[in-house]
Amino acid sequence: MDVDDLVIKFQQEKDLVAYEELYKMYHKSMLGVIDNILKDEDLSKDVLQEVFIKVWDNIESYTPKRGRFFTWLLNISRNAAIDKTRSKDYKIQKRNQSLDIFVNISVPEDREVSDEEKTLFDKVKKMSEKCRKIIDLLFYKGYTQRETSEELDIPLGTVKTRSRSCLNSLKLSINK
Amino acid sequence: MINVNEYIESGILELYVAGTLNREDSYEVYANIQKYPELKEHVKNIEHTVIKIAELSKKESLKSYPFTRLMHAVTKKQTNVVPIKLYSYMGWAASIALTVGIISLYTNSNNLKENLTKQIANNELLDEQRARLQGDVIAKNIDLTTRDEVIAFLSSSETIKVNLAGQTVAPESYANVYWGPKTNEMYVDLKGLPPAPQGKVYQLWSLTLNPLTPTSLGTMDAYNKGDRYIKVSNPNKSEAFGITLEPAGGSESPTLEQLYTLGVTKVS
Repeated sequence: MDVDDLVIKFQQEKDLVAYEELYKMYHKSMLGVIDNILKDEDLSKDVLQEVFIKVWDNIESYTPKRGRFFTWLLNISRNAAIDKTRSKDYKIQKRNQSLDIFVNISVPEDREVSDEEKTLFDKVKKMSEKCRKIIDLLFYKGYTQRETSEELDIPLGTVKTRSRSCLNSLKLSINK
Repeated sequence: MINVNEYIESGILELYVAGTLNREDSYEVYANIQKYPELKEHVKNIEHTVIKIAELSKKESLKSYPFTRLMHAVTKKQTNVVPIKLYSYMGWAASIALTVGIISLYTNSNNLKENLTKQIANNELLDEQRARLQGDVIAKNIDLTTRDEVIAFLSSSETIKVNLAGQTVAPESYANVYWGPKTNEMYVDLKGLPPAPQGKVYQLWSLTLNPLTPTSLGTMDAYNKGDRYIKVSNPNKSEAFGITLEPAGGSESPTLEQLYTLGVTKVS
């Protein structure tokens, strides 16, 4: 089933099977996003659980017109992780480690990878610092266009074109 | 009209997926995506890339908790809450009003109903069936001890899911059936039905289509007590399932005027 149809089904019927499908699609990536912010594996697993409970509880408030389900989920995940960094459970020494998400993508020695993932590894390796930064800020750190342009000291309009050309350089397709 | 290529090259779709567009622009992109399939595909590719990067950034050894743990958390919440909502009652009131107007429509389908009744009367298993009306249903409030079993059942590839869609009497109602034809095990999720009125009960039917023959799978008494999921045993070669509203105690043949939901299985 197409992801958009799954979302509709889950939203309209609170269908458990659709919910599980969505979990399967997104749990790994969201755990990656959360742990990239928290750098604490146990805490990240708990936060991921909280995120998906929020998804279950609040799916009625999701409005397709305002954005993709993926974007909504990504927002919930980032915000939950950032909230956690401000909590008492969080170890202070882990704060302010602002590494971009690509730092964690290393040579795939210890894991089995698909051809597609291998290609992505290679492309990430060749990617410029500029591209890594902008993709990291916009997608994984939740910066607005303005914040991104200030952080990188580039014009607002460049944020748009650069994010396009940088993501395009990785060029993954769902049909491959 | 927009130029699709220029639109893609502008980078607006990347910002849309990142969630940094203002509301107006988001609405516009959403409308365009509905109109142009290429844009939707591009959006999905962006999502896919962002997902893959995040997945690869995660240490291989870092694993999420299993889905079952999450399912415990969300279904536990649900069974603790008695979902009596105003709109359920409003839906119910509306269906009664509709039914009054619709009975005349149904006089035309009397032939069908007679046919059904005949089938039942001819059925040699009538007595056995009558005995099954009440005895067969094991109502289960899915508690923690049985939940793992249920999860295993729901996630089995041999379990068939059938969506029962609302019919004329209550178009907004629905129900879901999860059925393992090999084990005869079946769960009915009744959440989408309005509460049964005093003295009435929902009854579940297994149907074969050619000839149209209904077989009762029992009355859903537990739903009146607030259980959302009901477990039944279904040894039939069902081609469809229907739920009707019947007088307390159930009926021998379905009252078609009170057919609430109906769905066809995909088993060939």
